[in-house]
Amino acid sequence: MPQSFRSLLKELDVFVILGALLLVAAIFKASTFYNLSNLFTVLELSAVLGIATLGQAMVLIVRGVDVSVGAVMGLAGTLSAFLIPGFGIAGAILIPLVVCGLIGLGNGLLVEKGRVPPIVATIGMMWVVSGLAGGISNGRLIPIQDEAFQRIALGSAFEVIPLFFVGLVIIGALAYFVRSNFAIGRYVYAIGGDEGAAYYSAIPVAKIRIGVYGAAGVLYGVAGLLMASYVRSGMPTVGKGYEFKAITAAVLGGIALTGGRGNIFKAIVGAVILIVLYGVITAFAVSPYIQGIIQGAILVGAVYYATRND
Amino acid sequence: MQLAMTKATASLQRYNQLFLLVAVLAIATFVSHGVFIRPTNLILVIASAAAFGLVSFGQALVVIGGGFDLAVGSLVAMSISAIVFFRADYGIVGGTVGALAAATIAGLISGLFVSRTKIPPFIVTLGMLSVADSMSWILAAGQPITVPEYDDAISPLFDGFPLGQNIFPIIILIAGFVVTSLLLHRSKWGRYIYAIGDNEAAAKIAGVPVMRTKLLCYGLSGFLCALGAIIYLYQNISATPGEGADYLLLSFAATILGGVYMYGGEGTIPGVLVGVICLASITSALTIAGVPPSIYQGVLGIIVLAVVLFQARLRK
Amino acid sequence: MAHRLELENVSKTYGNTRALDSVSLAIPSGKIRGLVGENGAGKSTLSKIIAGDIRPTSGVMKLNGVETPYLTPASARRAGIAIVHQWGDLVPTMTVEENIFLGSEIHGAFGTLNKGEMRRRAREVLNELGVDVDASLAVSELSPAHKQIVAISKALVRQCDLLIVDEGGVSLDKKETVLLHAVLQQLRGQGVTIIYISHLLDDVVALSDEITVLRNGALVETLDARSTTAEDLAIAVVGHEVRRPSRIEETSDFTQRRTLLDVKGLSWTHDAAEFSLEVREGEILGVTGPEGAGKSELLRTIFGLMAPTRGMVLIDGKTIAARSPREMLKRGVAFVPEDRFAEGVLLDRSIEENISLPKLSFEKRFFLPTNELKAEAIKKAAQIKTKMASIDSLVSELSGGNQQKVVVSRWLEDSYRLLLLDEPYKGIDIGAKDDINDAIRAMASGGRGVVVISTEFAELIGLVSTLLVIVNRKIVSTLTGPSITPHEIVRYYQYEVEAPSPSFEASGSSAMN
Repeated sequence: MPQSFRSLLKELDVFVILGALLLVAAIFKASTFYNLSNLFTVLELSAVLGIATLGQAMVLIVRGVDVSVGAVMGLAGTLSAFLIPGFGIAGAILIPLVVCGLIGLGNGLLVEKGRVPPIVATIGMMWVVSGLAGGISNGRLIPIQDEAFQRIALGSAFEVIPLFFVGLVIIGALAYFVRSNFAIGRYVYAIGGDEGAAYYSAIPVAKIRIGVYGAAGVLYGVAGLLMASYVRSGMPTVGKGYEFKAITAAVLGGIALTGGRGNIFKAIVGAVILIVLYGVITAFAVSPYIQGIIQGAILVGAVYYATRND
Repeated sequence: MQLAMTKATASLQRYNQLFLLVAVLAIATFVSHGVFIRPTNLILVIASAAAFGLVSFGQALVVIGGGFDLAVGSLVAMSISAIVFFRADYGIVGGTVGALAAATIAGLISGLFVSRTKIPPFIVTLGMLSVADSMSWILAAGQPITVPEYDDAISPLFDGFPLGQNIFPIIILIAGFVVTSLLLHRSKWGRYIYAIGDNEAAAKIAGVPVMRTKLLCYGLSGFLCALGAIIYLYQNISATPGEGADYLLLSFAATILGGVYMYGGEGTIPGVLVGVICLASITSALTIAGVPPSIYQGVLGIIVLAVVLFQARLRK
Repeated sequence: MAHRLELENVSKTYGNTRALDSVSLAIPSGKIRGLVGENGAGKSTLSKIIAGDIRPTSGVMKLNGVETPYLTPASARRAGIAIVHQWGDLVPTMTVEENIFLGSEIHGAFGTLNKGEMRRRAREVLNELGVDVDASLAVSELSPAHKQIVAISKALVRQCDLLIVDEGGVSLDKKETVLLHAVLQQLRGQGVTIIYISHLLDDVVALSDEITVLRNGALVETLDARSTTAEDLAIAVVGHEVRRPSRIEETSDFTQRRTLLDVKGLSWTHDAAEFSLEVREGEILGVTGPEGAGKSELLRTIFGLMAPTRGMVLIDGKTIAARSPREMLKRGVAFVPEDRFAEGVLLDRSIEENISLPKLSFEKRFFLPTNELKAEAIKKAAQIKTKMASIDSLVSELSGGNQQKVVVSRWLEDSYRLLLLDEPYKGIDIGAKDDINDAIRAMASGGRGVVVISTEFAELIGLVSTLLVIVNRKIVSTLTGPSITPHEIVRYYQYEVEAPSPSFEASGSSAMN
């Protein structure tokens, strides 16, 4: 049955790419790439990008885009570091997440009620948020002394799998479960697929869209907190470039820029692919400066491939 | 009553740039306890606006034509590194020409992708942003940058004048203003740009050369970024590779403040000049008042969002 | 027994326009009411009021004999009313089952979706309608008929018993139309009341129990379908015997003239549908047919806006292979699109800018010759009697008819030898229609050629020398001279009479059929 094999291959495209990359690493750079320390880092960073990508994917599905990812991540970490002395670890985790959620809702309101193009709204919000983060940190890093917080990054299950990654799996599974088993999952895709049809079906389009941006904000906050743990400080610029990576990962994972289509699980795999790719590039001792060119090429290439039939 | 309201909003739209300028100048003077409004300071303000002002004119052309150029910041940074790179073998003249060419070509590549594929402009220029950023590090070989040649060559020419070193940037800013103004408001290309920004499908059916116009806009934007880089080096002499992200923020803010409509089809270059001066004034006032730079970004972001929302209101 | 729906003197005005003028009607339960009328007659306004999408300006609505306040989408749904817009209510990327239950999902434990039950019910509903569709397919993969049936199923699942089918049957072939009719009759048997809106008059006559005719926002009459023919309907829709003025040049006069446009075997799809036609100097060729028949696509493919799959287009005897709007304009061919908002006018630019745009597109000089452009624009606007405050006013300030005139006036000069117009009369007042027709006639008498598409064939009858009737992407009839009458036209306004051969030729100057 060649036809269904081809469509199966098409469905599993992300895994094929991932597999190919891992194969290349195994053949050429086995020792550099396949050691416990490196794999641990890869899994950790995959988790951070994966969670951020999940948020971005949701926004893309409702026909939006979010370039405030990096800034929100930075704010989460900075705010958390700032709050630890006064509010303890619980407060330092909860409060930033709430703030990030509110920022996300702000984005949603700008887009939905303010009729501001998503790119402009999230760029504006990006600046406001980085100004905020800069203000809190006074332009410096805020070191995180709290042991418990630091241990999140170092912690692992079964000695091999980072806690970060466990977190990614849990969050990803939760997202998938909601998407498949609750009406809201369908509504989000409906809004992106054909907003008019969604209105006709009496779906509360505005509320859901705003909510999606808000939820995405929380996810960016989680990613930011993870990074803060990883670098052991609150750094406003810790998320620099993550919006770019998240969009690239989502598109790589099959999320359509025009909305309504794409599997969020594959989007997360897209994030893993990117991190593995960076790892492989580093293993080949390619200049890190080249990364930007490769990233740009991947993004444009992936979108070109996705839109060529529109 | 309806008619009176629409007439009021129409004149508000026409003159809101002027209102804005006056308001900003007033606030700046107040916040800085009068320091801002001194003539010497005003000249400094305009000179400081020169680099990002040029970039803003380019961004305005792209946005009015219905697109976005997210790469401008990186193109400025890439141009700075390109000057250093080409200077090594061809002297400062070669460095200048090389940078202008490189940035223009980068812009043309963006324009090509935007007009020939269905990839949205923000993705194309986001990709270019990444590539140009990489290039700015590669071309500078990761080393800090020092380019004293512009200052050495040009400053002596204006030695006799008070605040002489600010004259060159202001001249270039005015030149950029004149050229882009003529292009947008007096040439056929300007009409093409407005048409495409207003309704690209209709423009195409009416025979407008869409691809060539887009190439012009993005290419010119690249060129102006390189020009901005030259001004920057004239004023600052040294730079770190990759520096220039601010220009994206500033160019967007200036176009928005200048009355350019984010969906395309509306906006003027004089308006953008007003936006540029407003931004420079706000920076100046905030600096004089001792506000830290990190807050500055936040303030700008709020201003941008506020103006965009206000724009949307007026349109209803 | 009370009527399912009654409207008493329902009106809807938008500013100065009366979309509906004191319409009163009563629809009994379990019957199929056909609703016909030209574009702009008020059919969609009426159906939107019934479905709760818009509120009437005045009038009374009664459901089952009880007066009801004006409906909203939510209250209409609760009252069991649903409207099916072809398949515009479906999300193409989602499956049949997901679409059917969109917004009315069946829940299981803890608010989760009961997917098994939904799949079962979806299959059940589709079976009841006598249709075999795999509910797990994406809607985008279905045929148009099946898409419509899924849209109907979606309404049914919401306990709807008053169904409005808007433009049902268009874009369906014979087999699919039969299927759709069977489904609707099945529903009627189950007690569902149906309002069936369509341009396909034969369909409407075949399916309905009674037919309501709207014209210019007012209800003209309600006819018993059993004693009505499609021809009667056509006359009722148009309102008068449209006679052909004797001064129109007849087709036979054109055989000596040069051929401006020659289309051979043109197609934009991969099925058998192909088109061939000719337009000579001084000739006005009309193209009519129900919505979705492919008329627009034909013109757009000729003009280079759509990619052809095969066939040739010759202008002045020269083949033009790679067609694009710019290329066609250089050859003197211009196009007036159907949707002036989407593709016609630059709303926020001035009238002068709009009119001068094509000329400017080929301007060699860098700077704007402002005075020249202005003078030209004023001249062109005056030629078609555009009513405006000044040539510098924004196009958005003009009425619909004048906006359309701005678009048409761009091409009122000798260098444009062939003008293609797609539905130029849509949504404009009678005066504007006349002015546009005058301009078309002036063009033709100046030796240029014109092709006009319109579903308002009344306009075409008094204008064209040859009329093509296109149904389902085939030229089913070429009418010339005295046979251009509503009777003749409407004879073909139905699903395929018979499968035509792949290269059905229609030449404007050949002998009559």
